[in-house]
Amino acid sequence: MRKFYSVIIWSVLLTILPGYLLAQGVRITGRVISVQDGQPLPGVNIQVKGTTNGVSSDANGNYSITVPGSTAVLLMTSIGLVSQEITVGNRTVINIQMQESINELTQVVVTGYSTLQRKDISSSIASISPEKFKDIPVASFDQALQGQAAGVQVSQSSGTPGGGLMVRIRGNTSISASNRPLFIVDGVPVENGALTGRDFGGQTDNALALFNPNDIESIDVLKDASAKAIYGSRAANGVVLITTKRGKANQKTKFTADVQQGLIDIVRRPDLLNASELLDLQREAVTNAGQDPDKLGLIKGVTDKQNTDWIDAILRKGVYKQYQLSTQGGNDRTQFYLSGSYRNEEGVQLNSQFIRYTGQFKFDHKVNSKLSFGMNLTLSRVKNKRVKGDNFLDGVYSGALKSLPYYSPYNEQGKLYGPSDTEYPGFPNFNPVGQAVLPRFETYTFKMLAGLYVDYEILQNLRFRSKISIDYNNITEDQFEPSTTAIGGFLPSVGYHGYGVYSNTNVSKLINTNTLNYNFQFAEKHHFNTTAGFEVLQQYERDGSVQGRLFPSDDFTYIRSAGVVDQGDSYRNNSGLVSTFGEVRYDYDQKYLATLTTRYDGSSRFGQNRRFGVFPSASVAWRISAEPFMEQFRFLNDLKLRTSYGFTGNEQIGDYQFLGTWSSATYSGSTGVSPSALANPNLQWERTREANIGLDASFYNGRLNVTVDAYDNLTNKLLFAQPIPQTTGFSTVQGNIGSVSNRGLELTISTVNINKAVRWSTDLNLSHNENKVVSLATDQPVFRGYTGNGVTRTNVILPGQPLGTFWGLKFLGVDPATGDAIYDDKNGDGRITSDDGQVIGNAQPKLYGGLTNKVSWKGFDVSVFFQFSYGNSILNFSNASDLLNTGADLQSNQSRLALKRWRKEGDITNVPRYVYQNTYNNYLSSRFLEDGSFLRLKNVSIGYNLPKKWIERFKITNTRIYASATNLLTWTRYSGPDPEVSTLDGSTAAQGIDFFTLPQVKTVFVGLSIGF
Amino acid sequence: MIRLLRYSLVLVLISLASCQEVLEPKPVDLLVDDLVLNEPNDVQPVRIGLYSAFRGMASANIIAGDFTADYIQANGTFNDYIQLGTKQITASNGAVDALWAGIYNTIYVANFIIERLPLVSGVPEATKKSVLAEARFLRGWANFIGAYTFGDIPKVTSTDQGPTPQLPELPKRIFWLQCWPITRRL
Repeated sequence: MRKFYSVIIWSVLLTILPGYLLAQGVRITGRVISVQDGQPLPGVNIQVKGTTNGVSSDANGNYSITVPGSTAVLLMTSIGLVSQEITVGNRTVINIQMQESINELTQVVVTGYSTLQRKDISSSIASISPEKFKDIPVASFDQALQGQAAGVQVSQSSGTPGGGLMVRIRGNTSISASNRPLFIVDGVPVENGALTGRDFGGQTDNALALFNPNDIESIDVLKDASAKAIYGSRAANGVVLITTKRGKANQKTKFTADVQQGLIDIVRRPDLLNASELLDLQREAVTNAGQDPDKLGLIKGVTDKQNTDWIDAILRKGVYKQYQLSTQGGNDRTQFYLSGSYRNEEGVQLNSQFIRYTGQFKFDHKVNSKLSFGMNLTLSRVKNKRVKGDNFLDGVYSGALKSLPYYSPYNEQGKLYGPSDTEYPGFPNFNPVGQAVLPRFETYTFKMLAGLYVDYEILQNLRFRSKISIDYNNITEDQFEPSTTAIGGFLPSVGYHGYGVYSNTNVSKLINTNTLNYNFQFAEKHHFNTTAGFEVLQQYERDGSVQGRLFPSDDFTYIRSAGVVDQGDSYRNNSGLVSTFGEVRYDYDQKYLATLTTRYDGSSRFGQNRRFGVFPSASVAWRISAEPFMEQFRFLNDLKLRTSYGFTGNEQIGDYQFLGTWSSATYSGSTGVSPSALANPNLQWERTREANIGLDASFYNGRLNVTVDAYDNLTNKLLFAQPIPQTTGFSTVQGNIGSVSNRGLELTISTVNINKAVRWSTDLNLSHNENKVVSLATDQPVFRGYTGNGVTRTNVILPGQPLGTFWGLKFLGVDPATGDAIYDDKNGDGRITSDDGQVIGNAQPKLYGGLTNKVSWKGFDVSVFFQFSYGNSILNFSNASDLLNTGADLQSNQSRLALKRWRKEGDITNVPRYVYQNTYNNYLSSRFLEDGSFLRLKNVSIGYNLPKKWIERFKITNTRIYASATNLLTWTRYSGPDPEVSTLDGSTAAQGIDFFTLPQVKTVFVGLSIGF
Repeated sequence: MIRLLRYSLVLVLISLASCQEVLEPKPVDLLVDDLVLNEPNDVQPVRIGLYSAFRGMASANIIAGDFTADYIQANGTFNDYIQLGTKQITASNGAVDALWAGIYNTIYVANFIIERLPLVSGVPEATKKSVLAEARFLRGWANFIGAYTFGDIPKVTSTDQGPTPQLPELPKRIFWLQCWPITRRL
């Protein structure tokens, strides 16, 4: 019986493994040196083409490899060098000279569960090398993506250190579910978005700020279905793959130390009125209303005796420090990478700070030619001192914008005014300086990302790899607001004696990935690379919090001392994903390429009838430049036309949405259960159908690289709270209905303009995306965003319009005769009501991108990076609600634009006249919707590499001194300080609203980097 | 080779078995329909839920139910109240919508109890009788409020989510009759 089995198995293997049975083996040796300087090149991969038989060159450039015969081809590759293929022939000693490559074709690209060279991919993938952002002091690597890749739109929500941002790859696909892309670090889908529980308005924290961007080796963004579909139901919003640094074989152990120190300041201060100007304006408003300003307490000479510049009072220049130390090395069998870093970034608001410690260790060991294993460990600990912001009434920056300059933060003794003082203005002017320095809002976050893998070669060319990893996060929030602040001292429901909150959250993800990889070829020209895999992912979440109030005094700031502890919470949540996936890559003579992938995902979030989903994709590519008729075009190195089609999904629809559930309800002191949601066993993922066509071209030996992509994506089965007849007992049921489309064009051009003593290179990327809501559950518009004065809401979701559409009255101008606002009476009924609301603009840019120029000469290097966004609108909601309120109330300071108000007949202006308690002139209208296009000088850096002969005697390999400035200049028509803010961080339907949001910061720093 | 195949088969089977646990976690703050009323201890919480649901329409009942009276005038800026005061009520009026939703929410919980309570074993007879009576009474009262506020309304007697209730509307007096026997006993 056994013999029978072995016969079957061996005959099966015989038919699929041609040509490798009679390998006698010829030993080839040689040395690899560099063309440029004749130095030996260690760590070069020498592989027998078409097999997994490979070695790498040692520290002296020597190598030794066994090949099957004289027809074998040796493939020499190394990152940064031009790959070479050499037929062995009759030689036994082959010495090779390798050239530094300036083209990107040989770049190694990480895709899904494998790696390829850029020239062999048939899908749309953008790669970002850390070289591009090493001089930009980004706190998190998603910040580093801004303006670096076509199709990737990154917008920072505020200037909070380590704060949240919006990342969108090829547009927004979802209305109710999340639009965040999938971030994978070393194979683990990491937490992204805000981790903390307590609401801080738009100034959320960012889970990705726990990683040190300096530990990153490469970032690859998967954009089209063929690249992403292997991630199945998590891929619809794009996938960002991060690979961290690892040790290199056969290299002397290298150490790198990096020190950066600098200053941070706000990009631009808002322009507000001083006390006298404001008083004049307010007196005018009251007079226009027919009342006596003196009776309302607006007395010239008295009320404006105190003139406080609140913005100045709460802002400061922050100090920035970052120190890093890393080492990597290894020999033939073992490689390691170890690094540690410290980052201390003071926010521009008083008392705001971000301090981070990270450590990273990576270890790879080859036991024998078949078995290897390794592990990676990332530890990170952040202490984040936060301040309240934007849409809080008692926020710091928001308070400073609104607060009347008539009040001072300090009394004559220099103490801060608090709610117990008579001079405290009270609602809505809470002392912003006090709000910044008195409370304690500390968040301690700890992250551990760890993984262990085993790689075993079962048979030649058949590799099995299993990896188990965990992404563990612990977030502790320790908060206390004393009685000298708004919540702790002013709110009657809290008790006037302090308010403390303490919460603890644990979020962790455990993932086990197993892959089987098999390469083979037929008749020399047909190459196959197949992968099959099985993955299990489990997410655990546990949190709890407690609140206390009525403290004995402000000397007691922990809840142990609280008199009343009457609110708390504890919760646990699990979710899971089980999947299998497969990929087949085929190429004929490297000329015709095809890829097929599919993934079968089962998620705990989907209804019982739709537990599992299939996500297939296919792509083909044609290397036109390899065709004989293209040979005459000598300047053309590579021209590849590729096209792909496939399906991906979005499973971020929330947990337990498909179950019919009851939750707790109270009644007269007793607790019972009441219905909470209706069951929908057909609830499933949102599905995106993607089609992409692209062209990769490389000219003049890599001096000019162009990539163009055009795509058409349709997302349907959108998660939506479907309205149902209320006679069912419920008003909505979570269902899948509605569709959104995204169509766009991307262009990336990289050139090396001059490559002699002076080297000048340019990188440009441009993206255009058209987002459109195709259909919704009903034809009724769905309103989102804030409630507006005089209209339903600030944002609307309508078929035929993109997401992020603004809603309001249309402002036609100021009537020169009366000074009142003229609005468009859309329904022609003679009145201006909320029914006259219409679409007034949208937050989606028509074009966005980045331009980088790098020049280097001898040891000097200069880099200039511009980033821009064109065609997006931004709603200046700060002006709409308070700073330009035409006298609607006298409780806030006004923007300098208010001085342009209408005063007498015949005045032509676009600011209506100021009349106390008049809200008509202040309706939410297109008057407040401004053009948010901007061009920003994102980064300028200058560096100098000290000549080798100066540093050689200290055994140092390279030293670089550099200075860098970020966000130095911004050109925009927006009247607010920063066109790139968004108070609802991460929102899709209501993005691009500036509601007292802290602007970005500019940083100037100097740094020193030493390698030895 | 064979051992390898055997081991991998075992591994695959083990992983498939753990599928259940990974793909069907239980929520801790929500209870599914099947577990809400399946043992005697569940009766009281659901009964409290019924009263809580009934109370849920109290404020909407006063606003939408009484604010159309002639002696009430709307002075403020809330659209809903202005519509009721001027008796120019539109389909988007929030208070009216809340009353309609509240009525049928109460009816849903009452129907849930009426359908499932008889199937629960181990409940004392007296408790069963009293809770069922309370459910029928509150359902009748909710229907009563609906009838005198809206006129003829659809009658819903089951939690079945099947066809959209274009149920035949029964005249108002039926609800009077349904409440009458219970009120007589009080």
